[in-house]
Amino acid sequence: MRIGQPPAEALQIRDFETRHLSGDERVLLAEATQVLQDLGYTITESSGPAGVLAASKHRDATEAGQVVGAIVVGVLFGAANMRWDTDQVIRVTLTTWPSAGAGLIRASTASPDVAMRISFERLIRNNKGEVRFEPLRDPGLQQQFFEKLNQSLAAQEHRL
Amino acid sequence: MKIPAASLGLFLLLGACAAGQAERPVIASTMSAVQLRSIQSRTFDTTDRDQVLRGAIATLQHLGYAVIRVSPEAGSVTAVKKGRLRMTVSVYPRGTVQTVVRANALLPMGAGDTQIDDPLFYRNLFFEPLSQTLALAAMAAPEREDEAPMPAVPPDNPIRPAKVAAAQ
Repeated sequence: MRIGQPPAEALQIRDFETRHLSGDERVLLAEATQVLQDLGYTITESSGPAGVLAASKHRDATEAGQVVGAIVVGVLFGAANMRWDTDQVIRVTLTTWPSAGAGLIRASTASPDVAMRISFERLIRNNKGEVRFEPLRDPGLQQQFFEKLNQSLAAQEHRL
Repeated sequence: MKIPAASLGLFLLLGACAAGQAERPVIASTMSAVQLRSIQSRTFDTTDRDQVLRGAIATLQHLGYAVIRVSPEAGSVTAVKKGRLRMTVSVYPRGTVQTVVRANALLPMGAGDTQIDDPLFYRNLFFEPLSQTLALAAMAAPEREDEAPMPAVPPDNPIRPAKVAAAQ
């Protein structure tokens, strides 16, 4: 049952997907909701008591290089072999957990109150209508999200 | 604003995943309800159902699942891995000192979604990581059948009628 296996380097993935934040968990979730919406996501599930947000957004997946490569393959092996990605849906799972919690989530003994983890994956379709899923492991995605979240929290503090 | 047909199709596919691919028939395990409950359930020495539910959510995310539905009131969460493997976890109290966790996984095979009944799958790929997350030992399922609800599955499938018939 390989599909059920945890991803390779699961602990490293958890580390770059997680930040420890100060503040009320509900407030942090509300701000995270705002930031995801700022980034163009549609919220598909939200639960304060469970500390969960899920969201998704559509993006064009066409890349010029991939199309050129597909054309070369088509010339060499026939048009039926030409494949390139056309569109994608990016899906987000965001969870929060009190930092005092036990087990895997407790990655820091520092003072912050809430651990927040955000994971990205995408559903990609090609020109043949074939669909595949892949996780997005670029830490830049988390970096971008948490920077915007910090800005949003700072702005909220300023307003108060 | 016009939505491109291709994009709409992809969103519909994602929606189908989110809805649990309910249009696909569920191919239920041939194991007895008692066997299945034993494989799919564990008991934890805690009364904090919310903490256990959060632990289950954190474990699913750690294992690479994407959360698609969560209901703290019902104590359940549904998540999907790689758009195929779908896991529903329900958490409920047992007596005054314990909490039971039941997991049910479905995997698309052929025309339907097959219920996974491999004990090692549940033990190694969910309950052991959950036990680590909660820092609590996972113990055997409750002995009485009526203490464990049936796994959450889409309506109109071969599992529900048997259980409903037994209950009636």
